[in-house]
Amino acid sequence: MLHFSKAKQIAIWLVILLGLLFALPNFLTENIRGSEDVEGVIPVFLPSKTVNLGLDLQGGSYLLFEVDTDSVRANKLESTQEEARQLLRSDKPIIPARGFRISGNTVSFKLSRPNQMELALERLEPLNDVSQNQLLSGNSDKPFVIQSDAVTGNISLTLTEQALTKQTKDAVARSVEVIRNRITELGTKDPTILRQGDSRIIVEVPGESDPVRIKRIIEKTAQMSFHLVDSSVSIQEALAGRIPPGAKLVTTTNPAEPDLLIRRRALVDGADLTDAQQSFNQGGQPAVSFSFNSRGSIRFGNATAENVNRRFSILLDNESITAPVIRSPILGGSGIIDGGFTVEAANDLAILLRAGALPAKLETLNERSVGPGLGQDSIRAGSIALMIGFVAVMIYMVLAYGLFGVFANAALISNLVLILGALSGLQATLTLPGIAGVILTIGMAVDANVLIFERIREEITVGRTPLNAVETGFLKARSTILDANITTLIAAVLLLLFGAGPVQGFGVTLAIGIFTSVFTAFLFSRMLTSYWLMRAKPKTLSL
Amino acid sequence: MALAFVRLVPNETSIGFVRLRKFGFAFSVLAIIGSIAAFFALGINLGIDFKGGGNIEVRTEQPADLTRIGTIVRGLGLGEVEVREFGSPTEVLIRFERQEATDLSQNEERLQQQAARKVHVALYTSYSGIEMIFDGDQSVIISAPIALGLDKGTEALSVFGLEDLTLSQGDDINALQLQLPVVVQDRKSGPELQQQLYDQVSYKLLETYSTLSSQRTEIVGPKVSGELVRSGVTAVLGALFCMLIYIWLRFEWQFSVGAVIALVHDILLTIGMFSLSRIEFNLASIAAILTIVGYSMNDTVVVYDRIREKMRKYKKMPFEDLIDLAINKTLSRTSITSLTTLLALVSLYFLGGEALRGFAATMIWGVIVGTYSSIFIAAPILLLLNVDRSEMGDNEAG
Repeated sequence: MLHFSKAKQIAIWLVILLGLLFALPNFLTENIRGSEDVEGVIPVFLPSKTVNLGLDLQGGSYLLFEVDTDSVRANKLESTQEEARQLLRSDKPIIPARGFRISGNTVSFKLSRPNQMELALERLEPLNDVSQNQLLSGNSDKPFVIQSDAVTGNISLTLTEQALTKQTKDAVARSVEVIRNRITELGTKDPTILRQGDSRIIVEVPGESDPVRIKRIIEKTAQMSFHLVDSSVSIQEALAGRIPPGAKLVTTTNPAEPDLLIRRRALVDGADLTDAQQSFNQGGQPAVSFSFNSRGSIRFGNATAENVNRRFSILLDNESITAPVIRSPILGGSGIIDGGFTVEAANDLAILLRAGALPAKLETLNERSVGPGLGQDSIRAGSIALMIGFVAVMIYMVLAYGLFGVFANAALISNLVLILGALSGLQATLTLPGIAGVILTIGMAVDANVLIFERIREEITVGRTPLNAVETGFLKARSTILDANITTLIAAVLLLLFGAGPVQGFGVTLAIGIFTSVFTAFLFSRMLTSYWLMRAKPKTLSL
Repeated sequence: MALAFVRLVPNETSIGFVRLRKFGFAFSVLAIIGSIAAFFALGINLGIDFKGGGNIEVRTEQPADLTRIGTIVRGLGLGEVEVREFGSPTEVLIRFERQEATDLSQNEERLQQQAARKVHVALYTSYSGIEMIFDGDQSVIISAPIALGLDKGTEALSVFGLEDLTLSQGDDINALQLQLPVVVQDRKSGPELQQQLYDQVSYKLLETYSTLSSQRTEIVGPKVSGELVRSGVTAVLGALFCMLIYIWLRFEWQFSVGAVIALVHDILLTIGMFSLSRIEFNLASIAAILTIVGYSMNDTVVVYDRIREKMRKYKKMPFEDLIDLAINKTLSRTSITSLTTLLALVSLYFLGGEALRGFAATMIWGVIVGTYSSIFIAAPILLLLNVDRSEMGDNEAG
């Protein structure tokens, strides 16, 4: 147990050296160590990352959102209803249908002429376009169960649970992208946007301790679309309830015209938008200019060409913000939204449009925010507690074991360095409970050495020679040390698996601490002990 | 070296722990009954992590007047509210419990956030002395007993992304005037939207001029708190199960049963401690319990290892004596490791800051209980579990 081959010795020293190198940046200023923004003084191949502080230590906000499944369902069914209506009229002969209704997961309607059932079902097939569905979800289940009654002409389209789950997942994935874009626009550094489970999104914004500001920008659902204004009936008639099929009433931001009747089908929607910027209109009023991708340009160009002198409305979150008359076809793929904005409102709208639309409503489930000052205080208090605890343990070890206590302390110091190095190198997050984990580890780390030293004492009492006693002590303590540490590791791993938020950080440091303390106590301090034995060749051991 | 080393226990002890087991068992059974009784009679002080609600930590410039803050917060009708000093005289922790929906139209998740908002607004209003008059449309008059710095407010609004609001000096020297723009970009329009904008702006201004500042806000809705309870229980039961399996693989089933009984003992006593001490039971407490489980197991394994070793060596020795021997042989190690761990934890308790104090206290208790249970429960209980001594020698080679 006391013989170390050259290779082994080098390996042990190398690990300690690596730990030092990785821990070092934490004690250097940004100008020396270098970072993404600053070129450092030390060579670039050396590690430059510092410990990744959790939000509770550096200040910032944590928000947990959940995508509202009901709004996903409602959106999907509404668009299905519209699509079905379009499909039935997509070709000649037009198939008239009425009584469109959404209830639960089902869209239902009635054909005016039940004998068109076969044709109608054929036309509705694209709704269950398996190939498209397969590409997205990887299974061949059709999203809708279609039930029909050829006698009454009733058709019902029921969205399956699987399809709904898939819709929700898509909505979450898209929301993550949208939120990322919007948070990036905020200009805060290193935000984290993560998807959690099927319907949740975690947003962490370091340095922004005001969650209200984050929510303000995230929670807006900017769904923009362009619709033709329906002028087949007067607005009074529409308000009285006579709404033509395929049309709907929306509110507007224009006090002179509070309600507007528009075609449900969008000419173009926000998905085809490529850019939006705050600008000014010809009158010098703040406005938002936008441009489309090629598909959007063609659609918008065609639609405006076919409808010259009719009005179209720009709908933002179901509210018409402007409804100009098309004077001439808009073919260039760009235009301007002029809604009587302030500069700020125009700017915010441009950001929202650029970032894209949130596909569904988000609900905040959990919110944690910490101011920057508090984090600093916590770090200071934690460091003091760590240092005092560290020194107390070291003093005690020397008092209890003399020279061997010094070996144990060398292991303890290298242990702390390795923990810091591992945290920096792995870029694991250090949280406030994580600091508690480090302090606890310091207290528990000497256990391995204590086990060994107590064994050595016993062996000396039995009358073994120093070398022999030390050798046997290390050997006999080995399996106990392993058993004891594996049990603690089990606890740490369960914390990592089931712990939430900052507590996971505790699991991280505890787990790292177990590995480093076994390494330092069992290999490093044993090596130091063997160096001393070889050199001093003591006749008796005082332990 | 002629140094006399500090020994917690003499080198050679021969304490008859096994003879004392009746007292140990009796004591533990009483303590467990007491813990369970305390749990049912008093419950435990569940934190917002598991119950839902909010924690708001605020800092004041002068030592905080807890009565004043308490009166303000209790006047908001948020149910039971706890207001206490947190770590220093200028830090105050306000805890409100989960706000229950009174009818179906209310969203409980949102109620928690609204409650936190109410607390903030009420405290900022009181600590800034500001009065605001909003005409419901665009104009806000802000007045205070002292002159308000115009620059401070303008800067705060601009940081918040509301830079083109016009904040100007009012007629009175102590008054400011604020002009809100008409906002159009939302599905809501008109008064409702103006009100919303006013709420945001006024909140920001009150916060800016308040001498009380928010340091930390945590809001946990009912969904998340329910899940945290489930995952916490899963983690603890999972840990117990894994330990059971591990010890069973490394030793005999009797050892794993003994070890898990000792762990359950530790957990129950820790719950009793939570119940009597009223220390808040939160996520960190689950971490503490799991660490106690790990630590206590660690201690137990060391004793068990020695028992196994002695079983191989002394096949004829009465089992009572053998257990005593093993405990005595490891007693020095047990006490030293407990002491160093306690040294670190006591340092954490006194110096690590208020937020970690509950955790440190729990761990200190856990180390004491865990050490006790390894000696007085886990080892002697093997006597009741019919350990098969004939097989022991062949089972493990190492």
